[in-house]
Amino acid sequence: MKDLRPSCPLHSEEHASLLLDYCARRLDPDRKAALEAHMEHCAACQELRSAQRLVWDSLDSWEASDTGWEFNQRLQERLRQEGRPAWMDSVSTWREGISWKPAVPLAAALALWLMVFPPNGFNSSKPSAPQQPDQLEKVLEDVQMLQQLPLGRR
Amino acid sequence: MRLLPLAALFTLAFSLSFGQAPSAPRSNNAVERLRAMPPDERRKALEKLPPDRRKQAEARMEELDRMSPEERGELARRYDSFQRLSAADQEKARKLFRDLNDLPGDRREALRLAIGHIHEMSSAERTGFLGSAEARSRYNRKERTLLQDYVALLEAPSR
Repeated sequence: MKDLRPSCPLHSEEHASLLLDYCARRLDPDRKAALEAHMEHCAACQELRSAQRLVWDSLDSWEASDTGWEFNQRLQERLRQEGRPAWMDSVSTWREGISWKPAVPLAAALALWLMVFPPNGFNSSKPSAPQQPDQLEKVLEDVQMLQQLPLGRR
Repeated sequence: MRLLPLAALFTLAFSLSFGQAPSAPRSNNAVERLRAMPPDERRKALEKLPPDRRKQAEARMEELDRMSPEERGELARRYDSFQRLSAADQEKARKLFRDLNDLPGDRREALRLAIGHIHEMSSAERTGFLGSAEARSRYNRKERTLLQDYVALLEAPSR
């Protein structure tokens, strides 16, 4: 039976392709087992395996972001817009550059303020009357005076 | 689309703030403002006054309510004229009214009639009346002074 256990591939040009296939996860189970059996006793290969596991773990935990999808969308959009005037592209670019998020709470606060404290002169269907008792009393006194003391031109 | 909720919020706020157009032309006249005052607002405003003054103010309010639209219109016109007087002349009018009320009942009534006539006169007629023998015979010096003060208020420049 053929001995599948390699001599150290780091020192053997003949087995160097084993390492490349191992790193690419292309090694068949028997050859992989033989290489890993060798790695149990070879410090240099253990070091390489640890480094390679880091790479694999990183690749396994990496999730594709939607940046690529957005990029594709933008690219397609740009292709569709071919022939549009340059100023329209500038406007689109400008709008995309604006973040409305900071304005939302401010606008909501302003809207709430307008609801709670409407500007004077716009929300009153009735003319306002003197609210202070002394002021009201004074107006009533003046009104009573004017009933008996006609002022103004004929 | 992201701005749709914000636009809806603004629409609501502005409709509440600005949307209610006045049902009638806004009046600056105190007579109309007093008339338009809701009963609960009147009560709230007057209940802060001492009882005797509150009772008097309530009576004046009720008197205003009982007036016909024509009477209120005339009173509103007088109030506008009064408001156009300077603050000093307004105070003179109040003093004149107090002095008239201090007169004995029959003399107060005599001067009330005279004031009504004088108000209907032209400026030249007023001057002639105050210097006339008739005025001197009907009214004493103090009463003629009150009538002169009244004519001065009628002739006072408006602001």
